[in-house]
Amino acid sequence: MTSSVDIATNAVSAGGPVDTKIAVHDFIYEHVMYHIAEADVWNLPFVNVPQLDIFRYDGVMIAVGCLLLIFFCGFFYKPNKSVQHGWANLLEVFVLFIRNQIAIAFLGEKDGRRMAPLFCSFFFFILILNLLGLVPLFTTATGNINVTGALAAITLGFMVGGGIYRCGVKNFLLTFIPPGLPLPLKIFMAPLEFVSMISKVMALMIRLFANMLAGHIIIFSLVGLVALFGLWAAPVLALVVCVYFFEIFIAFFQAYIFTLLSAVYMGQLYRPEH
Amino acid sequence: MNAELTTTQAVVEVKTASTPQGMHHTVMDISGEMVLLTWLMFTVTAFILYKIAWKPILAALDKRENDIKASLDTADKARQQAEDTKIQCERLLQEADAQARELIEQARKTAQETSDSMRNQAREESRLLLVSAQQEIAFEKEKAVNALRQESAQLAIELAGKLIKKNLDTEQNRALTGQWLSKL
Repeated sequence: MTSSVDIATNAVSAGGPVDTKIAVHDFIYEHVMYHIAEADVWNLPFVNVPQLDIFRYDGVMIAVGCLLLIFFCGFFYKPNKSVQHGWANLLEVFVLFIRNQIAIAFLGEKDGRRMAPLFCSFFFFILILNLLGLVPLFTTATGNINVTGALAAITLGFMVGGGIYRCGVKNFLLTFIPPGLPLPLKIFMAPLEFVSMISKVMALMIRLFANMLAGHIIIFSLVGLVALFGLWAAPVLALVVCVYFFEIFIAFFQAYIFTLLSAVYMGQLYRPEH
Repeated sequence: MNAELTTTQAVVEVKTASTPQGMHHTVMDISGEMVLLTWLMFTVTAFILYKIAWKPILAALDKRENDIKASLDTADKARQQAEDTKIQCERLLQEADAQARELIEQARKTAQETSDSMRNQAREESRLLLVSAQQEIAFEKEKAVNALRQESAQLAIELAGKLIKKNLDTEQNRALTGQWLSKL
């Protein structure tokens, strides 16, 4: 990506004709727009990838992410060793953190231990997709609202299913009626509570999607500045590097936030007395 | 103005260029296939990861936690035991020390008593010896005196008889001589 931008920048700074400038503008705009608007095209610069209807690039990214994750865990983690080394140690740190600070903290000792694998899967699944989006030429699958929506739906499924399994249908439905209110208010509040539950999940979906997309739009826009204004805007590349590193942090942070909020929402329905 | 114009052109161009079949999905489009694919991939990955990673890792973490807890407990117990043993050792040492002192004291006392009694016995024996010797001396002396007396009386009588050559009543003379001798 950067090399093609450089070529375009050189063309502009060389003082080419106006149509060259328009061409560069189109080129940048096209790539930014592709990134935002196209989920099914592998938009390699200067390379024409055959566009098939069934070919979803975000889907490919998910598959790559899953394979990487399975490979990473299977290759580095040795179950028969009592003391792990290197990456497996880091993996253990994350798993321990997720179990203690997310699962047990919000779901209680018993449910937390039982649900910890799900949260580990959530965290690492989202994390690997976020990080893959930062590799040049790859796209961010979590920047696709269908992917985040599917993940949020899994959370919703566990919220409702787990709530019913844990408290029974009657008690689960009673959690939508706040106790200690007069009847008319209860009738008013029950749908509100239901909407609140759905909106929490929607927020989960949009938060991850928007955060992952926004970072990329910022980077593309900043790089676009160089292409548009030539070398005068070159210092902005330093800012791009900063944003890139910030995006690495955001990748971890959003994976953490999604996992944490899933646990919080599940905990609210699993333990309505709290 | 020019920039705005080119932007519009670009949008048009991008749209026309990127939709050759008119079948494109944006990241905002709702796509059931994408959702199903995510669910499928997530479920499969979560299942595989549960088998190869989360289950063994969580089990290992639990085991390690329990091991550490057990080790700490054992160490605590061992330290407590060591302290108890130390206290017991000190107590035993003190007892042994006291016993040794007592024994020495007793031995000294016994020795003292033995030496005292031996000394007393010796003293008594020597006193008895002395007394018996004195008695014997006195007895011997008495015997010697008596013998001497009888001897001397005999001698005196013989002497007197010889000297006087006179027929005197021996009985009378002896009485007289005895009278004189006792006056001596």
